[in-house]
Amino acid sequence: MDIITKIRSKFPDNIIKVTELREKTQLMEIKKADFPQILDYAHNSLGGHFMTMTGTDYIESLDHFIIDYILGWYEEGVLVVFRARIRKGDENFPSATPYVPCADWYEREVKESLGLSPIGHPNPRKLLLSDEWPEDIYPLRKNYKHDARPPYKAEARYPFEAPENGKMFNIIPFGPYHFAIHEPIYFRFLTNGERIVNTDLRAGFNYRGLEKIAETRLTYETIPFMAERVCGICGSVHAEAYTQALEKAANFEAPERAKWIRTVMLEIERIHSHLLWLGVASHMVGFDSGLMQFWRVRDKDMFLAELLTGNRKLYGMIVPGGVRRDIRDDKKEKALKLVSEIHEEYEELLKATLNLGTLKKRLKDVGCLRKEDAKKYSVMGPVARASGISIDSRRDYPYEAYPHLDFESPVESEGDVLARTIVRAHDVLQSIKIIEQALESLPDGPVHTPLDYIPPGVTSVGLVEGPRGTDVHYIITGKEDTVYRWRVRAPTYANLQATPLMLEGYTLADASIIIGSIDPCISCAERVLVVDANSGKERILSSKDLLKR
Amino acid sequence: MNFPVLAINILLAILMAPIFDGLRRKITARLQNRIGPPITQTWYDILKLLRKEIILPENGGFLVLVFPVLTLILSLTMFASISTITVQSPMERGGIIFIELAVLSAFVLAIAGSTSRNPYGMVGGSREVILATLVEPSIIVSLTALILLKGSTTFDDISRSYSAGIPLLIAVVAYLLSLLAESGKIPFDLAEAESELSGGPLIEFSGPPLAFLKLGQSVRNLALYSIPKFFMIAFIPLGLTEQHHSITVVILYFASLFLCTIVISLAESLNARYRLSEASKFYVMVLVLSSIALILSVLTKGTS
Amino acid sequence: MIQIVFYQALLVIPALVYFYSKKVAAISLAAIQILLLSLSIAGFVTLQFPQILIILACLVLLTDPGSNPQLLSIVTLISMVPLPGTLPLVSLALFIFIALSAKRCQKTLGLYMLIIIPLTFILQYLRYPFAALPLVLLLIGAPPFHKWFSDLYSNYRSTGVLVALTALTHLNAYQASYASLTSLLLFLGALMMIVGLFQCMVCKTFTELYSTSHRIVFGLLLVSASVSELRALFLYLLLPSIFTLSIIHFVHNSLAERTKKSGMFEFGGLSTGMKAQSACTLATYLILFTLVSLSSEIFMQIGISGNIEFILLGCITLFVAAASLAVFFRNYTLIYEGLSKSNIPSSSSQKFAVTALSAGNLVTALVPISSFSIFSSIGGLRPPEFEALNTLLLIVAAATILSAIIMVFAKPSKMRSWTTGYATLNELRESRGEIFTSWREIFEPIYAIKVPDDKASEIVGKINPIMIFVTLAVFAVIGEIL
Repeated sequence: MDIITKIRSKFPDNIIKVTELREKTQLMEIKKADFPQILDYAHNSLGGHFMTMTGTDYIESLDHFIIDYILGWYEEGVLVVFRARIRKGDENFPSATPYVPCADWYEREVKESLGLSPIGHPNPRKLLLSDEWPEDIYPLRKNYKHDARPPYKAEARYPFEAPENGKMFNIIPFGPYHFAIHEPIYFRFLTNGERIVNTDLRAGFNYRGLEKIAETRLTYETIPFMAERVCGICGSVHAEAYTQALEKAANFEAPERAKWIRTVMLEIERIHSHLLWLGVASHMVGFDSGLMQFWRVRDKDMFLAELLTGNRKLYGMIVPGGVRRDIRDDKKEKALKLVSEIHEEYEELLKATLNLGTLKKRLKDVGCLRKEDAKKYSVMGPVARASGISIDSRRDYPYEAYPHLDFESPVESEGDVLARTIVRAHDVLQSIKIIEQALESLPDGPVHTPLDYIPPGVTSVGLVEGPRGTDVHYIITGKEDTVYRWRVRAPTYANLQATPLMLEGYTLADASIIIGSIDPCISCAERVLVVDANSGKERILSSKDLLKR
Repeated sequence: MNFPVLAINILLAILMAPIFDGLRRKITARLQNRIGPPITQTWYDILKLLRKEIILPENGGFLVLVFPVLTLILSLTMFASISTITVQSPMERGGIIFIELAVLSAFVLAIAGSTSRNPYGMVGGSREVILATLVEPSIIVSLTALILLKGSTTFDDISRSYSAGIPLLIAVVAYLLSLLAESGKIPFDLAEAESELSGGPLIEFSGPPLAFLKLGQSVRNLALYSIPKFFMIAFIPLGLTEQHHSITVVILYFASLFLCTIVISLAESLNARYRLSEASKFYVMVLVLSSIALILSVLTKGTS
Repeated sequence: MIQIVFYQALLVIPALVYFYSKKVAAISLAAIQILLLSLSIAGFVTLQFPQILIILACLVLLTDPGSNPQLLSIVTLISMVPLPGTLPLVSLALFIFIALSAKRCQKTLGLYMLIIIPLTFILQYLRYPFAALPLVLLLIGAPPFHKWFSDLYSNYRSTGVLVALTALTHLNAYQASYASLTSLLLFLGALMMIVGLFQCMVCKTFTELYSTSHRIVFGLLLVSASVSELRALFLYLLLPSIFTLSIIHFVHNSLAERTKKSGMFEFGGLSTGMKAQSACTLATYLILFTLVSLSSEIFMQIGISGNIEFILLGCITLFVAAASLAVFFRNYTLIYEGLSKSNIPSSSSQKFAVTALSAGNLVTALVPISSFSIFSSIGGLRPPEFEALNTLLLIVAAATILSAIIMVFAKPSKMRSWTTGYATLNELRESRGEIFTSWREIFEPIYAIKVPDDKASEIVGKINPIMIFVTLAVFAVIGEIL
């Protein structure tokens, strides 16, 4: 493969081994000291997209940790997993963040959940764990029980960046509760009057501990339902990504009919998500009529989902092996009729709203993200497509029924909020097209074939294009019907890192729409590990933080 | 001071102001294909708020209680200088006081926002001050044009020494536009933008202070809506008998209230929120228009 | 005849005793004067009203330990002599005594009073020096010379105010001579108010605060001094304006002296420790607001009943009145609200002084207008049924009473601001940036209008205003000769 050859020629002595996990997915083992250079070359010179990074604990069995950086090349449809081992006792690795800025959050997460410190990281603060979590307890290690309770530490403060000395700034807290953002996250703006000069952010309020629970208490069959609950808006995407990863690990192909039904469900979800976003964005700029009308059309889409699955949301359809319910012919007819109604009303609405002068003025030239910055931070989905980067996992890493369907991925180049709006608006039209095609040519056959054998110890990556971007699920299969490691990387995780850049220089009035324009799904971004429900919940919400002065 | 008329005015103001606010909400809802809340919803909101406990922010303290009551009282006093459903007005020569109170109550809300030292309140308060600085001149100028054309500072329906003409038409259009800018609803609600500033100046008001503030604001809006009646009355050729007058006056009064409510609901449903720069351009345009109206009325007064 | 000689003889005694014991002289003089007063009340002696006043003044002066009882007794003696021209002379002498004793305890006050005497004499002889008009305007701080006005205020603060007020009084007294320039003066006055308002909104130091608030006041006074119909208004506005300006000076000056800081952003949270000063400052700002709004109402009334140009003036003044509330609130909160950065103990003498000044301000502002006579003397207009000020006062008083009632009976529970969330309240209070930055951005076209007067300001700002005033007098004399 080109990419591997290029890397081999640049760094001939540093590569230990290259294995092919499957077609177009390679695993490259290197020494941990070489991470920064190789990743710098791969990301910046070869133009790779940063997909995710994980750490896994193999201490008890093999006496080492492994760290995986996964980069993808959309144009070639290639994935490369860069892996290194970290010996016990030498629990650190050189940080790649100075060269590849988007590795920032991932390395912080590995640090706090596994205890592997990135040396040279410019910003090694806690990311998702609460401030009172003790420093030396690492939840994702295998020797930590999923229901253990760490000792309570005295109140701690998150060290925010302080303003430069001598300058006068106002501190405006945006969150954790704010009308504009629908999930808790804390942005701290340093403003000069109304103009935002600097942004710092604290995430981690929606921490639920899903990965640890999946590793300890769930089986292959039950994880998709948990995955669906990672996010309320894009649940199916997570279920699909996990199932894809699992089926790849088992070298299993689901039956054709199941693939097409999965496609239909994913596109129904995309329509619902984008319509929700369009309504919320209208509300954020004060156009309440837009909110009401877009959500009225969205309700039809939810009814479509109810027609096909019995649930308006959290469909519960995608499982390893196929789907859980079939689509009968009469339902198919009704569904097609609903889709055409949605199409008609949506087109009308779009024409009426996107031409509205006042709305356009609020969205144009706001929150610009230039193409270079977008590449630097490896943003995903509509945010990337609005900045001129043409990536779409449905087209570049084809899965399910997409190779057989005809659709486009529109790209805009301004990189402002209006561009993102237009991209999402056109995505809805494409989704409608896809659903119509898929429903009309649904192949016959079974909808579910059970998986029989899944070999343990296999690394596998599932990539799905969600409404917000590429969702990456990484699993290492384990023994006895459980996963050894499950890592979820939602697209918002990558997009959030680019947000401070988008906010700089704009006023407070635009802050909410800029943050909203990446379609933040904070719950997706924070699902790693923590303790058990009763006492843990208090710590997660850090109620002391919210009430204390 | 005509006390029975004053009592009628104040009673009408307090009762009708939330109703017209509810009417605006209903019209907006209908335009958005919704059923919408009942017309009395604003009254339910105010009554519910009155039943809650009073919670004060640490820094603002006493001032948080003063400003809502001040707003309400200022707005009610505006009704002491105009006539509503009766022919006489409670106060003679109250026109200038009306303008003063209209302008003052706008700034009071702006300052109210800053009393609590909450960063959102202060940003909202500063926005409100800027808006008020831009809008109030238009209100002052268009109302002054009305006074000049009417020939007296008493806002009642007895003295009608003016005739319909171009200056009056321009003045009424300028007034309606400045009313739109003044209304504090989309597209001009940047001071109170919920999604941006979580309520802006109103952020620290809850319970009874918020109830008074809402009531004060709607009473003030009602007072401002009552003015077009004096413009419209010039366009109606009527004999000046008392009998005709009283019924026509009532009809005209409610007509002017409805007109203003509909104009504001339409603007609310069909627009996104203006940013400060765009809003200021609009306000400057309105100021120019009202100044034209004033100049024309000065000229007609000068030549007549 | 016999009686007066008797009293004259009585009054000689303290003058003679003075050579032996000052204390005994003072006590004896006081005793004799009290005797005189009681005799006049009882009806045994007829004293004219001015003479009673003079006796009372002397009694008050006797309380000052540095005053000279000998001279005072001679003064009282002379006042008893029924000669023409003695009374003005005696009043003048007493005024000098008061000034001297004031100078002992409050140096600046005494200094002013001593300056007033020659200035008043000069005033009598000024007539119509057209060339002096620019100087008059310079003294008052008419635009476009902003910078020099601020410089003047950092160098000769109090003298500047005094001289400016004198110039305005001259303008008011000789309105007829300046009749051809009325429109210019009205325009300048209105411009000054607006400029003062906008500059006050973005002021950062105390000097700017003084100069801009003075510009608002002087703009108003200039307008009312230029027109004959507003003579009574000018006279009414004079005293409260002086009090207002002096309070603003006094409070901020003492703050600056105590802490050696002069930037407004360096304070905060003083309202808890300096309750009297903060209350008086707030009251002063409110009184200034009421003065401007009252004037605006009068302008509008005049305009509507005849002179059309007053309508524009009335609109402008109305706008300035309402906007000034916001400006004053900003200035008040910057210094008195927020987290306290400097711990300044306040002295009780300061508290007393500022309270006394505020009381004077309130009295001179409110008492005259509560009576209809003042209003009716303004241009012969009938007063409206509810004077504007009464309405506003009523409203504010009603609101305060109602709030007090609510506070007492409703028992609110205190709580902290909710949005601190993850940021501490201290951090939020610490942030002392300018909140009104968007103001500057929006009104950038207005602030961008700059008059290139930096060089001129440097020179003019260093000239003592009294020199300017003397130049004015010279011009006057020249004008009279020619």
